[in-house]
Amino acid sequence: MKNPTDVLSGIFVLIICGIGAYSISSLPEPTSLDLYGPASFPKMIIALLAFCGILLIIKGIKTPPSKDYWKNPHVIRHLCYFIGLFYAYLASLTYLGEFFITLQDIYIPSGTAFCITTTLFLLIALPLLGRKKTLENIIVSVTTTACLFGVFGVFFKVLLP
Amino acid sequence: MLDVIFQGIMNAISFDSLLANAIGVTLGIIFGALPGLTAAMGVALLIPLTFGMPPVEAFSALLGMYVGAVYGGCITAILVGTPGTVAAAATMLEGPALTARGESRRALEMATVASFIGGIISAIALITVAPLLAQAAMAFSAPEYFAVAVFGLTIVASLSSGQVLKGFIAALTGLLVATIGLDPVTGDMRNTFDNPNLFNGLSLVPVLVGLFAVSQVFITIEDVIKGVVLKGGNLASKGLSLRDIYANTINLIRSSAIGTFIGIIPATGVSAAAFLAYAEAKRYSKTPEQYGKGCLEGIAATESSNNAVCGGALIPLLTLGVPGDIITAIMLGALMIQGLTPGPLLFVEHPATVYGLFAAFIISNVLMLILGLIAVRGAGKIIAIPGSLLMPIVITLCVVGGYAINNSTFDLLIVAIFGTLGYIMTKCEIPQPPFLLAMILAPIAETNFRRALSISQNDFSIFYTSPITMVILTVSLVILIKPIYTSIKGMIKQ
Amino acid sequence: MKIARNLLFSILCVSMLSIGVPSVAKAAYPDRPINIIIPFGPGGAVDIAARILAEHFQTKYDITLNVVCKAGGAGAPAMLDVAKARPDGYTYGFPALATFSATPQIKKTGYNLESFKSVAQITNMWLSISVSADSGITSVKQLIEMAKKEPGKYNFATHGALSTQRIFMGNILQAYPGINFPHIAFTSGHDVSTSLLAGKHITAGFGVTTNQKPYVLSGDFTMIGVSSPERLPEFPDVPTFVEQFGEDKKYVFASSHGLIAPRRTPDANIAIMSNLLKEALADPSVQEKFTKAGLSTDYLPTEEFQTVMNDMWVYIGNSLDELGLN
Repeated sequence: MKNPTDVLSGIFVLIICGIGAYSISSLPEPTSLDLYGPASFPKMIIALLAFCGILLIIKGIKTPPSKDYWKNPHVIRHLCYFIGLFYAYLASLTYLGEFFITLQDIYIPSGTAFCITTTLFLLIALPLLGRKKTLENIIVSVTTTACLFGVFGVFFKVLLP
Repeated sequence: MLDVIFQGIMNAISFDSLLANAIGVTLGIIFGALPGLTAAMGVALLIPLTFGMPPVEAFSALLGMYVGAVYGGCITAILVGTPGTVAAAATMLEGPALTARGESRRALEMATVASFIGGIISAIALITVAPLLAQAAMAFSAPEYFAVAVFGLTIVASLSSGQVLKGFIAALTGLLVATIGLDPVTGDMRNTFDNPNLFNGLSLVPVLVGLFAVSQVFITIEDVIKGVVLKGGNLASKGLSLRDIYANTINLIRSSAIGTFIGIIPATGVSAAAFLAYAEAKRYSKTPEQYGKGCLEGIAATESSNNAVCGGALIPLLTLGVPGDIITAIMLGALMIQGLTPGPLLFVEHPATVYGLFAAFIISNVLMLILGLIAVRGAGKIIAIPGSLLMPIVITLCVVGGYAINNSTFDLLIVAIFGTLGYIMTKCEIPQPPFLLAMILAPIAETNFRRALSISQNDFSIFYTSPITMVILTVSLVILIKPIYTSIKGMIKQ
Repeated sequence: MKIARNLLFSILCVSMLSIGVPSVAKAAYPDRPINIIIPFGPGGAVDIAARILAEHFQTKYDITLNVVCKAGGAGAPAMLDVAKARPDGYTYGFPALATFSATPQIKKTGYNLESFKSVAQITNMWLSISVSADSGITSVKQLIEMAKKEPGKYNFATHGALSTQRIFMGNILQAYPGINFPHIAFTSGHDVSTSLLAGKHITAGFGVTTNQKPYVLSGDFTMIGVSSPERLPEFPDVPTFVEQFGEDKKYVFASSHGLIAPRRTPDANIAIMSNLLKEALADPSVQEKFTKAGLSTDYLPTEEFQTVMNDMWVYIGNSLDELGLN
């Protein structure tokens, strides 16, 4: 196996085809009125995609990669921490916002969840990427959040969580 | 006749109108530059503010916002690698590479000048031949739209030379993802997994922000972790030279023409025009292998065509009352509020206003050139900010933008997923632009194909009796076959 | 370690700030901005109507109305937001009742009619069908009879696969069994008008009077039917469906749009909002702006609007059953 990346990509593509095929299996067949029903186009795409996926796997077995993108595992691991932090930020933003809405008696202004989670996210992300100066981090986090809130929440009246 | 034109121009260059225009352009550039904020959003937010203004002044502001926003996206696309708007997605193909080479200023100035030229050429088309072009656009019905969409999809083949197989996979996945949502003809739900948020499919802006912006942030962070300093901290001293502009003359004219025409055809998009112009520029270029590595021609092509769409889209709006794209659809509402009913009657009943609008549009482009060149000087400072500081800020901006388009926290999930997906795709050398293009064009292609069939009651002759359709489809086939053929030949040789 | 320290610091800051946040709002309603969620995109007719009202509320009563556009999903995500919102009178929805009734009866959306209470009706749009002026067709009855004689030759277009207009036409066509008068789905009212203007493949466009008015005025379209109970003053030559097909409730249809609230919203707040709307919609400058935008002001108070809502729900439900669309 000369190019594991390609082979894995090919397999991933086939998995997507599988999910797609399952999802459209519940769609009705084309009625007598139309030659092409709702399922026709997706079916065609999935067939072509599966074909390409197989080709990719074959290519991955035969040709070596031109450039190795996965060179530094520790860099990628560090990046995964960041990505994990990002997902945590988004999740907390969503759920904290919903939680505030369910609090019947206390009124919490819109945008609070956003301000809290964004500030926290920035405060954690900056040192994660190597910025050591704590005071600078705090100032940047708070100012950025304040600017974003000001521009979007206040000026454009977007209803932030 | 002349006095009416004169009156219109006077309205457009009155102090109030100029001020409105300038504010519109400035806001537009800012909106365009910030990822997640779209031109449509900007125009929609401005409309209530224009309620009390006289028509030409109101439209000075709206047109300024439109032109500025379509242009503004290129700033972040070139400097930070994250497109500010859909229109700038194609600029991503060359912009970041130029910045990495230290030629960011040259790229930005070319983008500004190209946008200006695109706008002016479409303005000329608007003023001189608007009714004629509109009539031609009316000849486009379902089969023709299908052909145009197919033509756009074949651009995929030329965009991914050297990676044809992976380009196809990206495009096909984009096509598949585009089928999520309400079936356009029968109304069944496809691939929605019973989640109401997916009923209308994936919203384009969160996908764009995730796929291009967030993934780019992740990739840049890798460099940050490794300690690589982002090049261009010394904002390139090399600016745009007149020779650069002159060398691209034909490119600029051709790209602007493409943009104008795509703009005229209702319901086709800005990014389709940009990608198309890029592909054509590459085909006619003397140095096609430079494309993708930081080629000024590419920027000239994408930026001039996306601004040319602005003028093009105004043509059907004013002459027929039919909006050329989503932003002009919003402007249609604004026209109605002002009591102006677009259509052939508009030219007869309110000629002064119409000429005022033309003048305002030209002024918007001029202001965009001036303000853009000023903005470019300052914007370069952005890359002086170290990546470890800049990237988290950019990503929070992406989050707000992705949320704000639909006030939807589900869209945040889309941003995250597509950000991760985009990152993995880059690592696996699967190109992203075909995915985006396919996602945009697939609905047009499929919907019109099935609509054409339902009109003709399953008679395929509706396709081959239309000369426009056949011509476009044949050309698409030719463009499609060539790279596949070369690629297969290459694989056999190995 | 550094991360933990920053985290602790920020938690301290935030908790200090939140001590100052007022806990209960006991002032007169409304004392904060009110959110109106509309399931449409910016710049559409409903968005414009909402913004006209917002401007009026701001200048006249100093009440801020936030217009929140949440398009897509056939209205489902927007209405779900309203259903799940805090029922304190500060969040409302402004849907088109027809789509509002259709989507939950076709697919599970997480809400239904009982999740909401009516507040007031704001505007009505009449359905209208037009043909190209040079087709020579003068009434929709004539068109249908022509379609009966030559099956498949004529068609009609609407703005969506599940559009109200398609459902309405389905009801009309029940009187003509075996007819082949196919429906062509487009994606927006503008697309329908564009296609009809081109005159190539589409015989008739079925939309609302607001969208088709400019083309009728310019002479490109002939309007051949309208769903109002009597002829409209702005279109005196256009026969109504009732005139053409008979006095039956199903030939009259008003696409009603109005404000709805989450079910547990206090009635007192709803009454205040409803009265404010009544005054606003009676104000001459508001009416003038509505007319300029091609809309009409049709205020209906809470109980009557609730009746309209209930009737619409049943009407759409029955039509969907008969068309086999659910």
